[in-house]
Amino acid sequence: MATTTDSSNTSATTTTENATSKTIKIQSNDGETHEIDQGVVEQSSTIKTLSDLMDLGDVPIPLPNVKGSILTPIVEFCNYHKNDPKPEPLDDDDDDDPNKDIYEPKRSDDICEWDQNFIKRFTVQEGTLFDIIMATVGCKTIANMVRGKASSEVREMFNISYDPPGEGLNAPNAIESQAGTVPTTQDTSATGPSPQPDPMN
Amino acid sequence: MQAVGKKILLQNRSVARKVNKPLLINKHNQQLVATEPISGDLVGLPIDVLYRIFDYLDAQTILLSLQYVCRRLRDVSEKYDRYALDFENISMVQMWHVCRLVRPESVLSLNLSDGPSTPQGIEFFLSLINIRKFTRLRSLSVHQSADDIFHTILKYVHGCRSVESFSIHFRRASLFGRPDSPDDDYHGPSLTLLASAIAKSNLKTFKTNLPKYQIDCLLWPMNLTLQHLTIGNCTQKQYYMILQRSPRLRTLTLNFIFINRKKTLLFHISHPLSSLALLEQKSSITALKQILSWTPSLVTLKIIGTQSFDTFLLESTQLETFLHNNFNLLSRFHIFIRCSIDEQPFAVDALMASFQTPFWTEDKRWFFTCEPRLPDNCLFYSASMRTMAHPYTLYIGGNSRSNFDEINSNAEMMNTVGKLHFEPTKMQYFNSREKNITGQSFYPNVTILHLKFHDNWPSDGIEFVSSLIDMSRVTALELYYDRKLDSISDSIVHVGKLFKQAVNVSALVVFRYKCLYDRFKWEKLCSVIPHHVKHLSISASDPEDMKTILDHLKHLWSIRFQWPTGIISEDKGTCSREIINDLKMKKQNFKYLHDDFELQIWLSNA
Repeated sequence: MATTTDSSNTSATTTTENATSKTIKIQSNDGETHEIDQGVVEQSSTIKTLSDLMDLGDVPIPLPNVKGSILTPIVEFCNYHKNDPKPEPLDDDDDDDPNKDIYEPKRSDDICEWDQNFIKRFTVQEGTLFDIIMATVGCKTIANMVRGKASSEVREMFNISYDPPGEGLNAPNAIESQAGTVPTTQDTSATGPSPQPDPMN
Repeated sequence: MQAVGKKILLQNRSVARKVNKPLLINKHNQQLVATEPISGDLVGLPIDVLYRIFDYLDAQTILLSLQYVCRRLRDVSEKYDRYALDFENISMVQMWHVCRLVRPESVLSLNLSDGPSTPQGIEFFLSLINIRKFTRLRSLSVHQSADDIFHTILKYVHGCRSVESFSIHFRRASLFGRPDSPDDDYHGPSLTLLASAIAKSNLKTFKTNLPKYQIDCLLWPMNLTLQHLTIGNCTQKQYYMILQRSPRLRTLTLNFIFINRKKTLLFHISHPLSSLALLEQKSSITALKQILSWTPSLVTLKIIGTQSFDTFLLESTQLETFLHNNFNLLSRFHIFIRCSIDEQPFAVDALMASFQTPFWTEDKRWFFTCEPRLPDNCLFYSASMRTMAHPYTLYIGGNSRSNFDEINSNAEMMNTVGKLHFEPTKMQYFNSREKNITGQSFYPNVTILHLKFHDNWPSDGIEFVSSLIDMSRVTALELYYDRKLDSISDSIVHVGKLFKQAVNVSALVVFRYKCLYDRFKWEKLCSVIPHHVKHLSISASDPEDMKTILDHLKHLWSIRFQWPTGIISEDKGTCSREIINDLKMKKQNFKYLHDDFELQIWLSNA
């Protein structure tokens, strides 16, 4: 049964003042409809492209790959973040933080409190975390989960099975055979490390 | 969702599944540890989403772990072409594997270091991989290297058009000289070669620690492309020359500008610089007025420094007019001044009155706090000041003043503290009623904790530390043992308890005074150091002690023995040779550097 949700009810109080009055409707694959404003549209390249291409008036834009249970929190997330400052492009000439190297690894320890609470509502085991992973906070959270973990721990964490025996690159024999040999250096005071298969293990 | 303490059960909303599978999650959701196998289609994610996840990961995790998980992740890691290699704190084994596995053309950023965690690390890197193969490199950072290594790297920078950001920091070789003395000798390349590399390159960003007496040689090659510059320090004239020769410069960072107040400058320029940061300025802001007036387009101005309280009080009354009249675009004004106090009582209310006007509190909404550090100094800082890179010493015993709501300003300040110094034994002066009322840490973002053991710890020491900071976020722990300490054994027991909470500490520093040497129990200290500590810096001078530490801590990636004062050079050399020979006898693979300050060893432990 189709339901209509007024997404403005879920938006953060601080994020509504810049929204424009133009709204469009989007519909999940199970018929759930949301009315979203331009601030939300701007955050989704898919919806933005569709809304630019299609002028359906009051007819909702169909999103056949998105379930209603996922669309609702995504709209909520976009509503909260719609007035966030736009991320600086890689070659932004106006970058004024001289201590920031634009090519250094991105930080993932800066997930704001709202996002942290938001992500807690989704679980890996039922797949919902992966459904919303297009949001930056999801990528950061996954990165935090696997950072520094051994391959066996990652496999265990996400219940990933081995590739077929004898064929997969994660078979123990395959790993050992790829570990290589002891490196050599010319400096007698310093030789290379001992071979270590899968050094994170 | 149920939350019990730190253990949060994420409710499984799937009807088919009956068992909730718990994730252990810390206060900041930074680490989630699965306690049971959980299913999820990580490997089925689109490649661009996996790329985004990889963007937040170090190369070691991708190349040494994820690519061994399954064929899909192996394929993605092989195609991924945005690698950032950071070799500043890596193990020798991991560096060897990363260099063997990575495709150089897939690397965008490279950080090489001969620092204390990786002595001879750059030489080792160059022995493993040809730097010329990094054809898409956009950012290169080099710390502390020797002449011949610099030559190879500068030739690469000279010829590689893709590099837009280059950072080069030289090791200071002077034994006992002051850092800014012209007599100091900086190891490094001939400056002519460096200048030539800069002139021929396509750099937009250049960072170095060169001081004023070496800056002149870099002025001529400055070209139209340079947009972001960081240097050690310079004179007023050099500052003028930098602006004149770099019309596209937007951000400039330096420690300080030498101000000669007896000399009137005849130069004038109007440069579109948007951000200026002075990180160790010792002169008054008034003395900077003329050179600041050369950059009227500043959007961000950051000044960190020291001066007398009386001088700062006087100029605070003029600061509003100066900023208002000269910088229409200025939207961020960050200041952190340590003021020396000559007379008591000092006029903190008069100082803060200058910052209570509508210009500060309504137009700009720039908020400041003055924090007494009696008896001889005080801190004046912006509430928004980023102190993540600067140590903050916990002080108990003075009332701070702010030009807005003090609770909020203090909370904001506490959130920005990344490195915290304090003496646990002074904690009894802290108002215990303020402890942990909200359940939140007072300093939630501290990652470097510096503890000084002066007296014995009180009984609630661990509880107090836990209420101050989130120990799970601490990555570096520094322990300083004072000469008056009675019971070293007790303090080590407390450190052991602390480590049970500090599960992410990878670097440990232990400093002790020479008079404690005979009483220090290295075996006992080693027994409480957990395996996640990979880098140890420790003051030691007895070869037997040093061998004991090396024998007990087989999990270390690097160790740094710092010589205490009073040890003659000959003894340092003898001691170093004994340790090195001992490691060779044990057929251990390692690299090392030693000088009059310390012996650094990079071990090949996994």
